[in-house]
Amino acid sequence: MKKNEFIIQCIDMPISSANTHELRQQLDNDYSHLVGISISDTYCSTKAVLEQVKVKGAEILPNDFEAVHIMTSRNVEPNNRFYTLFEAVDTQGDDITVRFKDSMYSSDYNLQIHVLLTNNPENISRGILR
Amino acid sequence: MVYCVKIPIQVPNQLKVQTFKWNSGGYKKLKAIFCSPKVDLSLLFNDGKEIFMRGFEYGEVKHTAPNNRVFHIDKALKDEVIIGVVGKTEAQSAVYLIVEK
Repeated sequence: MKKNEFIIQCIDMPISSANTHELRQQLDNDYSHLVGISISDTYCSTKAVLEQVKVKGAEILPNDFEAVHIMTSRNVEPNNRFYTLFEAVDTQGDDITVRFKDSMYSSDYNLQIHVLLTNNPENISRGILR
Repeated sequence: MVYCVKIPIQVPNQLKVQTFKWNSGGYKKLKAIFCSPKVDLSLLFNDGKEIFMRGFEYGEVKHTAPNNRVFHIDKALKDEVIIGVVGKTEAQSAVYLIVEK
């Protein structure tokens, strides 16, 4: 069976306090590269930071990256919801580690991080598969 | 290779403006910039050119694709020292540079 050109993997992270939350999840091992990342428009505040997003020792975003920069609403077309301004990261079933902190937390919510995986990273142009 | 460089801006109490210098080092091209919400950012390059970004409202910008919120520049860097002035900041803000090696 032919594999899809890309897959969007959703990482759910329950947020229950203003402390740092850490999550480790295995990425789909049918795909070789992580090329995009996005956060669904949630209750997370504009002060929330991704303290670390890492795959196999490689940092995808700088430390303490403000989450608001990759947060998108439903008004954005699904193909354009991804921040892709970084070098594609080799994956193939490796774990992704996310450390997240929302210092303005006021009530529990579910943070949804989406990662865009593909076997053809050269085909990604500004978030859209050509 | 494309990298995102974060320049953290710490603003002392009472002060609303902070400056910084960034040396391009081994980076060959500045592809894009963006900064913390509501910040006014001014960047001055070696050739005297200046870029000014005034108070992005990120609450609304969430309706725009993340890659389209950045200010695309595509400027070659050669031992460039970029001088930045950040205004209207909160205690902690940041400037992000998308650079190429």
